[in-house]
Amino acid sequence: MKRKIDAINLLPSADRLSLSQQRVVERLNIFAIVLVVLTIIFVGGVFGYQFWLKEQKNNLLSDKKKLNLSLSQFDVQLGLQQNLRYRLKLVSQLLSERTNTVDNLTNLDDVLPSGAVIERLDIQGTNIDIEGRLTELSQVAELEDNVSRIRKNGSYKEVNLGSLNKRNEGWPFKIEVVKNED
Amino acid sequence: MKIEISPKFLFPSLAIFISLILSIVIGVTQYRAIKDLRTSVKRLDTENKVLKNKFLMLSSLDESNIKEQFAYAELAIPSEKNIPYILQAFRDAVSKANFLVKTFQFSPGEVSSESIFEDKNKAVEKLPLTAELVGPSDELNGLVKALENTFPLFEINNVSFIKEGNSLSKSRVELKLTTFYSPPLPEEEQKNAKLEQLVMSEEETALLETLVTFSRPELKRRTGGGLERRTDNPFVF
Repeated sequence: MKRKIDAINLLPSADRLSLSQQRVVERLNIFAIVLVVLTIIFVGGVFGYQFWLKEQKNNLLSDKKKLNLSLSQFDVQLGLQQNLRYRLKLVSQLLSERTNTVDNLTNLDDVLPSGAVIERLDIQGTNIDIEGRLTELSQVAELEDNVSRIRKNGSYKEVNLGSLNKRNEGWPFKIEVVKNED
Repeated sequence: MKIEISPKFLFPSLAIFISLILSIVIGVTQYRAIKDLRTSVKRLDTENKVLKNKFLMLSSLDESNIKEQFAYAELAIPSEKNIPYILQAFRDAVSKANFLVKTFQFSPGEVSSESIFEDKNKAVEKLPLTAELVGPSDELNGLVKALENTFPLFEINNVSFIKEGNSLSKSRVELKLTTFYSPPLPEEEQKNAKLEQLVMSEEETALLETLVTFSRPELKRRTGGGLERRTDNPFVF
């Protein structure tokens, strides 16, 4: 193999090594300087960013303090509004869950013929018991028609009509209905 | 052959070594601190935004309006057991349907099993009451309607209607009712309210409009605004 002959190769071995080391040192120096500068930039950047974040945190904390102070003037409104919504929730729950007795009573018109005398009425939730008297024979037929109609339409869970027998004061009746819950 | 390493290597090698070590040490130790700081800043920023919105929302609220609305809600379910108020409301509703009260009884110790709020909401206290009334037979609907549309809210658990003697117009009505009261929210819960907890929903606004139509015992204006319950003697029926 032919060796390349240049200026270094012409030098004695010891000097040749020294010169190559010098070149490496030069390169190493440049690399070290670059690395030191980059390290300084990196360290500065890290601490600078940290400082900026701390400043931002402090500013936000002071803003929060100010906002909380401003909000404290609305403590009365805050308490009232909270209590208002809480109470409205309870009211809404009560109104939606309580039995609507007015509707139950109004719907009795569908069951009883007009002119029927109610002697006794008992409403407990959706259970309605009625004892009464019919004065005319036409009312008996109307009551039986009504009962068979409401049995079919499904608005009542249960409809029980006792037997109708003629007495001195008309036709006493007893009917028990259970409304379907809405 | 003996290889001599020049001492000139020492400075750059040391500088490189120190730079690398410094970068690694600072990078590792400060990473966590910066991450925590970023999280805190983000959290504080969000909190401040919420507080700002809360501030804007609260400053847009009309205090007298809330007081008025709250008075209605508190009339519906009072914050305390106010027996004179309940009696007065009951008397007003009953007399509206031309009924007279024969007997009236509170049963504070007993709770109807028919009643709502069964263990669902411990915050609501129930106050069962029974009453015996006499009045016109054809006014039963009116009586029930008056009781269901009055403040405080009553839940009708049982109605027993009995026609008295041979009279067509006179009847006796036995009622079992429940009325409710609920203490105010603890102060802690009020202060920690989230923004969405302050904004009224459409349903709540509609409910308030419904509540305005309810009858209430005679009220007089407070000097500082709001409504006040009359607390004169309601025992005279």
